[in-house]
Amino acid sequence: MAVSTARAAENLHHHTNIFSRAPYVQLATHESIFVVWRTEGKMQPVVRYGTAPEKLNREASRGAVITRFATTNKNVKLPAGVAKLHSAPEGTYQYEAKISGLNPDTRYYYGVFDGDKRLTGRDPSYHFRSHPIPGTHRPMRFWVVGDSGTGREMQSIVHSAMVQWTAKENRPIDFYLHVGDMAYSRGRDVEFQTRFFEMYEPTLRNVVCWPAMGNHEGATSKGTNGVGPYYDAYICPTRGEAGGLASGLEAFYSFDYGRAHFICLDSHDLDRRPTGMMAQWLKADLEYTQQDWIIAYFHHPPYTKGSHDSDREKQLIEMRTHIMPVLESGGVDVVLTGHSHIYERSMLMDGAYANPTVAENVILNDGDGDPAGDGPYRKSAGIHPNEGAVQVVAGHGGTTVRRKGTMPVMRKIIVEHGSVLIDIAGDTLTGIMLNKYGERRDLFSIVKRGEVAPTRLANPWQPDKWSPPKGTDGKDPPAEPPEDFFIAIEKHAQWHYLAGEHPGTNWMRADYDISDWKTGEAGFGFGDNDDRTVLSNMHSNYTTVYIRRTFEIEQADTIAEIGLMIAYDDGFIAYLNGKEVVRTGVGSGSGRKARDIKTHDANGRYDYFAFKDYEKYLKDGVNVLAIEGHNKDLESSDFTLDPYLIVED
Amino acid sequence: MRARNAWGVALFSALLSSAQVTCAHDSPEHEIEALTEKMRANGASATLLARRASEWQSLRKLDHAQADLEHAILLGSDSVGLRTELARIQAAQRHFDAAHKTLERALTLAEEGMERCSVYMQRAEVREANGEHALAVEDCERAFGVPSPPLDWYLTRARLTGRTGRWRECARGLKEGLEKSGSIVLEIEWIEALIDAGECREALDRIQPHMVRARRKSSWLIRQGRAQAGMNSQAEAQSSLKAALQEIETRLDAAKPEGRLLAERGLAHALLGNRPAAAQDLEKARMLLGEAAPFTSCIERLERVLGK
Repeated sequence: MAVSTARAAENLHHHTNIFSRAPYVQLATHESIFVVWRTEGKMQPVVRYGTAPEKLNREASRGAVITRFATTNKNVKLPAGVAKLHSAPEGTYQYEAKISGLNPDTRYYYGVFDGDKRLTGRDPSYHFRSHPIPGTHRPMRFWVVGDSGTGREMQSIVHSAMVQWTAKENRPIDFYLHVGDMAYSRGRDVEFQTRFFEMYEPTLRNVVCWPAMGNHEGATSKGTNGVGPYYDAYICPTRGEAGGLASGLEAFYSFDYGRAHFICLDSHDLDRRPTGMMAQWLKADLEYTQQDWIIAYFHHPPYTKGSHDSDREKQLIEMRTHIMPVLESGGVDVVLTGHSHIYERSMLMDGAYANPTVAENVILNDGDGDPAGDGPYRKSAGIHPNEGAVQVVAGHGGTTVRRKGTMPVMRKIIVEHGSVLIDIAGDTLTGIMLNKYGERRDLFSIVKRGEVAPTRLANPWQPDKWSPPKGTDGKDPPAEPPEDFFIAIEKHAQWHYLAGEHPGTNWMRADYDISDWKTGEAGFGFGDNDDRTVLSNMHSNYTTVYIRRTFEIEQADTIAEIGLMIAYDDGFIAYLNGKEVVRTGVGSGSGRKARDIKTHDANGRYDYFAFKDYEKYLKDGVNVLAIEGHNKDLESSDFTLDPYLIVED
Repeated sequence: MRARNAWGVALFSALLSSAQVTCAHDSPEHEIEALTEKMRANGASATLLARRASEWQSLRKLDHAQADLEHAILLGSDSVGLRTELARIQAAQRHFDAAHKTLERALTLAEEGMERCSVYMQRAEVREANGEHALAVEDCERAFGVPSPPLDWYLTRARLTGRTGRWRECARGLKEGLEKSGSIVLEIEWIEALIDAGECREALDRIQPHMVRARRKSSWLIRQGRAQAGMNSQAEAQSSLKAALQEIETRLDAAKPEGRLLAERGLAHALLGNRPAAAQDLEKARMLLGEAAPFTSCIERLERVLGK
């Protein structure tokens, strides 16, 4: 949204105490952490903290708060000391307060203040724990989730399952890794807000989410220059601030926690080849680390047959053929990925770089890795090259799960929503897959002790062959509406409608004259007793009905999604401000030239259809929604067109 | 052509991102099927063709991708993003003349600044792949006219200036990038360039802290050996190189050696005068690294030492 210079300038000086993004923590080390938040106007940013909730007796120094401001207005000159916030709504301030001088491995409580006015609640829920000194022996637990950023109920359920599990065990997570696709569908700022920050807010205020770039975030953020909503949202190390070597870019980085070294790669938009900057950095970083465990995470899985196929897709093949040799010769223990909407977990494996992937001679231990089953996977103490790694594909965090085949190196393949919890204590790493019901669906363990001589299995155990269930067409089930939405056009609202004739070609545009159209309540139709405006003459006479109405949106650039809830029979095309945004059941053409209408029964059910590319067409103020409903033919026994409009902001 | 000019990709991605579907990304086959279906119903459009080209590329079907991009351009949607992407695909198929022509056209369309500079950088890479190193350096310098060049451009420039033997210039450029970013990759290449430029004392000073901190020291030992040899400290150089070899032997997986590590072993052998072992490692490393081999700095150095 473009605003005037005057408004932008006003925003620069206006005080407010409303968070437009609630406080969250970033880039923790053993002696520092960032607290980040956003407001819609300027404030006097202060973070106070202390080791007891009622005693916030220390304060982040003024000079340690970075202020960023979002404006697209080139006439607005940013004041000295204010940096640009690239992708947020106009007039947004983002504050990044660095708290330094912390004691290692210590819980601190904090509050965000506007001057002396406390903005965060007085409850003790705002706290974080500084990292232990790198190299310290300390048990750790972290959460791994991928492909979750739908803003739908499933994302919330998967998150709750983790929260409840850790509460039940009285062992909270120390941090979490997101392996990408955290803000569908294009990683826009508003999608980050509604589908990531708001969904995970209670967790994000306490622990750092260390992110990996997914392809959906990559639609709006670029790893090469670190610009976009993803890079606005996160503070990632570029100069080895949290352990590891300086990458120079936020797109790939490493950090230490206790005796473990974590490596994040950008598998989406950077050169994955051995000669690329990322692979060269990776090799150097692996040669440096002194920790006992190496965990790598990135978005595109080197091995999968979930919703993606690593034998066929370029990014996945390149991660396998270019990056895996470097990781394995560097002694990696676990590789965590997403992208493929499934849970897959491998046996202990090494050197599987061929295409297609085969299990023969790359599996070092074909057991299930469960201490109560075939026993844990075993490796030598410390870091040794090519002693095997476990691959975990955790792309099941929220979006539709799917399987398209069997990856032969996998020990567990589970087509269910969930996430992964990993504990490391001394020489033992334990991973579990927690499903959406909070049930443990997989457990594996790696023990690094003594000296182990790896042997390659010529004929390892292999998962059963799998074929798609009969009757499925391989397509996604109907879309779910967002979890949080408001209604922009009510159910059974009054619409203008035209039935029994065709309008001019521009009928869907706002400036088209519809003064001679009738008005009636949705739904429109006949023959199935579900209609409020009954079109009693439609049968045998005409097949198309046109409806229109306006709705208002205050600020279009804060809308994360907009879509129709609609009961329909048989097909329809929807237009937003004159542009087609949904088409279903209409093969080609429109209006009188619509062809190939497919049969569909409403059955009293409202299906959800998100508008495509709505951000290009949606305006501040009054918008026009137009829908043409089509019956399959003149003799069809019924017709239904019953929409309402929902909006996620 | 090896390199994928990330800024060229960014231009193309920008074109694609305006037309993403709202569902989670499906497999390329599904996407291609859906896009084909859509074009069958509503006719082809540049945006849909560009999206399908991107999916073809992820399946490595470059000829299909090229056809879609050419069709998109024919539909009147000529743009720098489409042109640079098309040139990249043409060059990957070694159609250098076609790639060159495509980029010439892109330059006429590109706006001043990052867009234009990224086209120059891509043309530098096409020229490099075609063996026109001096011209490639010229294009690279044009590309560096932009205020904040992406970090990987520093590596490309260093490689190209190195190929023309301009080591001091190469080191200077890398130092500039290092000071901006702190990147360890640029630091390593800078130290290597210092050695190649004969500034071995400074290189040794820079190597020393890494020798202390690194868990695996072989690559630093080789650098140290090269610098010591450059200062005519032959005995010290031999000792460093032998220590490097010793460590590499413990790290190399005999069954599935990692290409770059093998190239390092080859370089250590070569610097120690063991040419047959070095040549053997070079050959195997080239095989393992495939099309990336000619652009791997360690391979380049090994080839230089062996006179290949």
